[in-house]
Amino acid sequence: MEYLKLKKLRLLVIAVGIAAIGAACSSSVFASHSFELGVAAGSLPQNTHIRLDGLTLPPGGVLPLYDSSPNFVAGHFLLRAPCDEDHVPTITVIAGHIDEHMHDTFMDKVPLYYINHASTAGSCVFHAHLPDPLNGGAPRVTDVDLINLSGQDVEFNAGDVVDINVQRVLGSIASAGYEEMQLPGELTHGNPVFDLNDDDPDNDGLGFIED
Amino acid sequence: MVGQRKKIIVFGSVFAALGFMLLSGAGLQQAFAHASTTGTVDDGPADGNLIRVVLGHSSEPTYGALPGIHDGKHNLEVRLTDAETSMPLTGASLKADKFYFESLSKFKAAKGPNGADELETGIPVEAVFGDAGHYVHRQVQKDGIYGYRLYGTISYFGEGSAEIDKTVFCMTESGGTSKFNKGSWSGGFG
Repeated sequence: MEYLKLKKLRLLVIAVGIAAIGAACSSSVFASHSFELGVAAGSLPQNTHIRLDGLTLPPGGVLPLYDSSPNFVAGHFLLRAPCDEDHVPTITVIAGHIDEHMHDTFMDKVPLYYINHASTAGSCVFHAHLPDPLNGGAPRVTDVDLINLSGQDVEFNAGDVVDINVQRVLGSIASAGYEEMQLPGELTHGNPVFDLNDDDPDNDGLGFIED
Repeated sequence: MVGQRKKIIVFGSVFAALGFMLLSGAGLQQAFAHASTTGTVDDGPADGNLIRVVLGHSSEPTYGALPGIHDGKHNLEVRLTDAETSMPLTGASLKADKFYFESLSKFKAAKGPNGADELETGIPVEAVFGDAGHYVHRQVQKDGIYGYRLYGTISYFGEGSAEIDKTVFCMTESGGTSKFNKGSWSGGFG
């Protein structure tokens, strides 16, 4: 009887140990960028999940995804969408602030990370960090949109999706507005795309922490 | 008719009170703002990017410790962020020199911050666990004028760093406490 109790206790200790090691490892896996802070203790992230399958965006078409005005936020962005042979999405991801006043509007292309090991034929998977202080894009993000600047229809495939996970409010655009105007229509097709897994170390972007 | 007028007066008073409370709240937030300054990343790929340094006392306005009335716990607190995005900056190595003058007249008479009634140097200003970009030196204050020389190295997301060495003194209702400030500061703390 005592032997059985001891055996159960040992199994419990081993299970707790494995769980503790797993938790410690997972933090280094997810925190691959130095500027990503995640959610503050005691808070839950806010998630927006939008299926794109079956949608067709005409040239110049815009699909608004997220608007947190007046707060600018920090978070993580996921896109699965059609891409070209250089892994540039045929749709353009833009973020920044769209104001009711045109002159207070500033939108820019979001730097994307191509995730080869999660991409399948016809569609590519991308991650991005909102904002990305090291690699460019709009520094204060209240709005995230998809815009078709390719000049042709963009048809999304089955399984294409956008997922935006907002983890922190960084401030109010009312007290930190943009001084420069940049409208969505002034941008050109093609997001900057980084790739951590190919053989080119020059397209890794900044802020990546080697495990 | 009289009853209706009474109702209008009551509702009007409630709305006026609510409006006054909201306005008072906005006023308080402005009054308790901290002092802020900027620094520049001067090495690495992020060379030239700006950082924002906000310095003040916790739980402003401050009161000197008075047994049974005020505990005087007003930490020196510093918040570091990327100036463009407001994202917090972690991993800074900060220290402070603390200057304390017993009165405004003694402050005005002093020829430099080292003429303070009390001077502490090399105080660590340490990161607050679980609150990225927030650094504190815990202390209990006395009535008087406090000033700090903040110095050290601020890491910019691991892609550069900025050196800081600036001095700022708290404000008083009578004013005139900026003569030993070093570096450009905006706003103030009490």
